[in-house]
Amino acid sequence: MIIFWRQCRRILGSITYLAFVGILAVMYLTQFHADLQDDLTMAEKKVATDRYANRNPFAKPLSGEDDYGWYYNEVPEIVMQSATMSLLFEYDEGAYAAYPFGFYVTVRPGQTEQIQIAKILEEITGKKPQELMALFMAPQSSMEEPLPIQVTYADYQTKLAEVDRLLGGGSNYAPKWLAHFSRVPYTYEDRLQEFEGFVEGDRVTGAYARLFCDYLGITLGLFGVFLPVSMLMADKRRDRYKKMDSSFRKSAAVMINKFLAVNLMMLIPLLILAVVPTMQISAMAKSYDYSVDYAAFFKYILIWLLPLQLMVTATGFFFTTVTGTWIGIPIQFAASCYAVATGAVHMTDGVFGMNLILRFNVVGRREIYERAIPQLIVNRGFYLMLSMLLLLTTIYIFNRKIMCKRP
Amino acid sequence: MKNDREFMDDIWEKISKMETMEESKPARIRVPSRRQAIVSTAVVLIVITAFCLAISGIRIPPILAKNGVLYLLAFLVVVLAFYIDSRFQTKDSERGFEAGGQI
Repeated sequence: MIIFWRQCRRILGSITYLAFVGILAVMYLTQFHADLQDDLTMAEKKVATDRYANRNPFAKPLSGEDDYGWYYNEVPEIVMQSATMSLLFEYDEGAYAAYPFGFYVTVRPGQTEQIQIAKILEEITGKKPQELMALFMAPQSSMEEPLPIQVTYADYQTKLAEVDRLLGGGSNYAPKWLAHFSRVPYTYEDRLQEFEGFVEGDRVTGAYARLFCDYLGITLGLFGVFLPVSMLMADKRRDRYKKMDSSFRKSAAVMINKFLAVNLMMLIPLLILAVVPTMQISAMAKSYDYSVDYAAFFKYILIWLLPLQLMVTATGFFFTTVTGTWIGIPIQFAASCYAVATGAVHMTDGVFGMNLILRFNVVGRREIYERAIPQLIVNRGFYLMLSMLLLLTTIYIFNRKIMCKRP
Repeated sequence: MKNDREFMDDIWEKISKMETMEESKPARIRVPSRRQAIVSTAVVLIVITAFCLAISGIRIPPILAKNGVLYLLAFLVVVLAFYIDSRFQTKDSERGFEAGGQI
């Protein structure tokens, strides 16, 4: 226990820890708090909606509205029309939008690729791109007129995957992005169901707790590994274990205490940050006479973020102990960047898979979350087990190094 | 001819000179102050990042600019903090320990 508190004190004095806490606070303020503040400002007005892009989530939706917003849903007919239209215009400009590493880049393919894309467009529509453009440019033409699609959806997906390959990958025509060409309008019933989930299922705070975990999960995944690596590297430099007893029990006690200390110190700022929105949202919910789940943020942090934090810490411990270098930082950082990039496709649809950083970038949508709960349990359980396995391996390697006096 | 005693004195004098030289070596290792470290590392990181962005031709659209720059800054801050933690100790005694060539 003495080791544990001593480690906590050490972490508290570390500049890396202070930087980590500062980054968490900045990300909370600029990402989550900004979104929450918009909703609370709307909620203060006590009106249901200005317009659906700026609606009040605390108010019951009104029936008979013109517009209830929209969501992405892969409807083949809509996808084929919208994606072909987009491809035609990008072909005409000779410039294609792509996000190969999560950043926007304009791809300007060579003449050979352009000819192949023109051929694919012709196979899809039965017309040359120039003929299609001429149709749109004609004075009497309307953009509402459907394009003549002559292939099945399966063939269409294959052809667009080929376009994506020609563009170097990461374009809008990659199979995983096709759903983004299909926007389906919400109905009043959809919005009513969403509202009931918000008030009764989530008891208000739960809906925001998922958004909180979405934003801070990214921060934790990207920057959480610096602290454990910094701590173990300092131990190595100071040659702390030169005269340490080489029993496995002693090695396990040292490593476990360090592991727990790092995780506790990383968890504390998250829990403190969660107090602020809990109080703000609860006060607003009370003014609407809604029941509130005061523990929602804390429950979500423990289920959603803690396994991620344990995994990040265990990765840092493992690679630092094995190699004696800071190689764990680029490894974990790269893994987190990959997780963020792949998760960007599933930010609102509740498809978690085995992604390390879970995305749920929407307030409410309880029905989607409920469908995703089994995935969430499997995912977080897997990373919890993997982090424990990494910790055990780390202890074993640490003990072997102590026995050889080469920690 | 030197007698044995004079001969031994000569030897000891030479040895003591050599020790003085060895002792003076670590003193020549200059450990920059924390402030110098922070400023120099920040400058180097900013220059490297600007260079990488310039040569990669990446154009960050406004919608991504806010988050992209924010995460980039956060990354620079945490790398800087990590570097300071790993290179510069907070206590003078530990700094002296490093300067003494124990690592």
